[in-house]
Amino acid sequence: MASLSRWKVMSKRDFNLRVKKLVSDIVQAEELEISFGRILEEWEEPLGPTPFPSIIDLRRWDQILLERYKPFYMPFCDLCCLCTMGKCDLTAGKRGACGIDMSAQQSRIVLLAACIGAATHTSHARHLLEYLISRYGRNHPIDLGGNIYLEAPIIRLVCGIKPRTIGDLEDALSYVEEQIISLLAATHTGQEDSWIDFESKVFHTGMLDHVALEIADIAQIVALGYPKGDPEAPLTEIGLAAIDQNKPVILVVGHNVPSAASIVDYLVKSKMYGSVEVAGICCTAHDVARYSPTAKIVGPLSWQLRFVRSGLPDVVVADEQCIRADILLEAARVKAPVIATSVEKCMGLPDATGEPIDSIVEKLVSGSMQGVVFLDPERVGELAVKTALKVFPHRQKVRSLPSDEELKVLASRCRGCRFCERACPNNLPIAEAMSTASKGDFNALAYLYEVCIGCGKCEGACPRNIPVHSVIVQGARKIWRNERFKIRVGRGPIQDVEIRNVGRPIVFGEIPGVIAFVGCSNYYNGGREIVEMAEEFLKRNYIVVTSGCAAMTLAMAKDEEGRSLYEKYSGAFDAGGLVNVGSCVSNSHIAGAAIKIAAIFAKRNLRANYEEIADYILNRVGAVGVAWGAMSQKAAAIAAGFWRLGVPVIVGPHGAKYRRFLLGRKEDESSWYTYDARTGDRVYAGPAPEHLFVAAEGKEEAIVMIAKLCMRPNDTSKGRAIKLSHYIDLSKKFFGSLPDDLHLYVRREADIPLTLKSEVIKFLKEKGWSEKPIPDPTLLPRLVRKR
Amino acid sequence: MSMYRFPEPWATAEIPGPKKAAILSRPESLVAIIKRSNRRLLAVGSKALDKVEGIDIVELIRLLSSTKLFTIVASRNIAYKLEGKGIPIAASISVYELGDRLRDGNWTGFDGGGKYGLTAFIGFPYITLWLVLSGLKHFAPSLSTVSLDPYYQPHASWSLPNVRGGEWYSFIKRVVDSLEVM
Repeated sequence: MASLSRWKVMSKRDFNLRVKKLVSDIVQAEELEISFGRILEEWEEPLGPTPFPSIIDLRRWDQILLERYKPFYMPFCDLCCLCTMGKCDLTAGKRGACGIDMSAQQSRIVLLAACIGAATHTSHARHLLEYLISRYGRNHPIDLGGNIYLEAPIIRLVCGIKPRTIGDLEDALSYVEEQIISLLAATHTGQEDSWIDFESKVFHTGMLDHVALEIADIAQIVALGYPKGDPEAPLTEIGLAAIDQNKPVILVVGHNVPSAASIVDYLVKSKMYGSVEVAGICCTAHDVARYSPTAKIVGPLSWQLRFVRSGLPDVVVADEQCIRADILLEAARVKAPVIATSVEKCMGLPDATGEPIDSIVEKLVSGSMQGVVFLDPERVGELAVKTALKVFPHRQKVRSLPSDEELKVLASRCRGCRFCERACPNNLPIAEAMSTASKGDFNALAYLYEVCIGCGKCEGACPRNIPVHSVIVQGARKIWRNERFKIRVGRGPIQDVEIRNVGRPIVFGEIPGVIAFVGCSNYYNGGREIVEMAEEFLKRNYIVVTSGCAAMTLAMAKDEEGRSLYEKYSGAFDAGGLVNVGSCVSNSHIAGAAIKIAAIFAKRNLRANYEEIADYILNRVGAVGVAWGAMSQKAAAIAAGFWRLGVPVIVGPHGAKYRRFLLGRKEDESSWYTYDARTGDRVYAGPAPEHLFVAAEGKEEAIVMIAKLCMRPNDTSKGRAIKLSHYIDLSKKFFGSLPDDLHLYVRREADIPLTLKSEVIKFLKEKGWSEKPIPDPTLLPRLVRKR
Repeated sequence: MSMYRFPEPWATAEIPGPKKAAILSRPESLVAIIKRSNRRLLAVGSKALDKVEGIDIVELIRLLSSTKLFTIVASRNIAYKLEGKGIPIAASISVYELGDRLRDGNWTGFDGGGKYGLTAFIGFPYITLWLVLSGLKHFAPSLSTVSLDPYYQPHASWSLPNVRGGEWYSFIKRVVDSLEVM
């Protein structure tokens, strides 16, 4: 048993009894108060070894992972500038004034990023939960419908509790909050100094982050009536052209849905539903569409500049996370008032929460106030709608994009200095596009639009003050004026019955893998690449799950018949299904599905049994996360949660800026031994999965890597043959040959795909291959059955 | 052209720390570096078939390959295409996996012959190479690295400055010509 924390003895709600006056045969008392701490609720599942684990309770598991998957640090900065003894140069073995070296400093920065991400999700969960409890009561049941009995797999796994009401979620949330404070404290000067312990703490942060995600999403699903694991959740519209510009438009942007839900509620209550457009960017868009499927989704977070500058939004309602820091300035340029609804993002605006709505509306419409902070989610709907209705006729959809006539003039101001290209994260050939645009040919600008991440840094870099991003957007007007697609609304969790159906084929390898396309839209080469990647695997009968901005990007391409991927593929968690779970916080259902496979299919005890379940997933569940455009600290925290759970993550080229990978060394045979749980023997199981965290240089490398990372030591020969057939086929398709490491993944002749037998056997002979046993794999000696 | 000579990263914000790459302003300098190195590796990146600054990178790789002084490895998506163009590729490997091995003092290389004395890079996305070179600068300080792309890479041991295509091509050509008369 690991060390006890106070959470282990207080893992259920407080019990307090207050008695004004007590008179009995044996005692008389006044103002009597009895407090019992918390009552541990029992259910049929025995309590595992690590309920509410402290920072060090899972350290041994982390070290097992880190022994195999060692960090390769690629410092983003040579210096440490976190205290006044610095700056300190840590280059090539130097130590700072506090004694820290570069490995520790890099892992410390990774921990800081993960803490920021986890704190953000946790704060989000806290705001949401408090609001929902105030509105629906602590006793609002966690009822995810008749097909989901394992309602909170992460909370059960980590905390060892079974939440029955939304009030019960507070126990898990308080635990997460306490732990994150300790983790953040570990980054202070003079605290942790070992890279391996920093990395262990990163994993701990990621695990906590997943608890927070699950709390937030379960609470909003059950309280706000979102789809409950429905494979046929409705389709809604996405894209700039999906927004009806003949109506007042309210843009909701961010991640925390109460203000957007309040807008929908007010429109329904006042019978104006349908006469005002509610259009979302980023995860608030996902969640308002789950709340009201007729709400529109504009696009991922990188669509903020282009949408605001298009002039379509009449009011901007900002909640929290991933909202541009210049949204107020941008909105001012198109004369759209801003309503800030989160304490996390007040934008320097006056707090008008207590003021009468009509008075605020008047100030916003007259322009005497450009925006307000308004922290009452019950009334923000009325404020936003009334403002939009009054602003709409005055604004006339004023734009901050140049006209077609102005476009050529602006482009001709370019002198080809290329400072814009040097500021551009994707090093796009802007100067060349400006040159052709100045002659009236806008095709190159249209190309830039498709691969631009919408950051706008090009404009700040331009010495001639050309509004470069606006020029690109306007030059691509023919594209975005037709940008209208279908996306399936986030369905939330995976049903228990779905897990029952696919658990066996996933664990034995017959469904070749579960691939999660998640994260932000910071793509190196445009969003079309992840559409192509996802479809490659959908066609091959992998299960593809998705969330967040990636889920939006997957909708934003059409086939020859005009269908998006969501119209072509089923929403079921099954072979060839495309499962949009929802917003960032819905990533919990992706981790939850992997955990449920261990619990429902393999009947492993889940409760407070983290190490065993993670060992199960690492060795048996062929799941891979792909965060192709990961940008944020939240994405870092989410990834960290998957690493500890044994799920490898691939990022796109920009993801390398997370500055360290967790790489296995496939040729180092000693790294790839496991215990055979049947015999206790140490058995070579092959480099599967080869890495825990890595970037791909491009789409082709990512596709082949995904297929490889889906292999697991436990695959049956039939399953391994299926996985190898895809790995080989993709390697031939994109690399022009058999994989050069194929011999490491063939354990027995029966693993070889039948149709490729002669070719593969010839290759194996050249490599001096011999058959190896297939173990019942585990990295945990305590799980060996024979004693 | 002269503006591009400033020893500053091509990506303006990617400012290095105190230790910065020495600029290869003359082909003779690179020739000397190559001559005095043992076990030279040329790592070719995923953009090797692109035209950069108006130059077909593959032509430069062909020139460098013709010296037979380098073991050439390439990113996975590009290796077989280069082989198809007659350039011998010893291994295909992701640049991150390559970086991870290069920083390992016990790694004996693709042929088991021991550590590489010099690794040159060409054909990479700027930020990808920037990061990998940073990892090598810090964690493989005894490894010499050269960036042959036409953009200043501050974390290499030596790097070309930011140069236009024509200048880039003639620099590499002069290096190769000098090496061939060795």
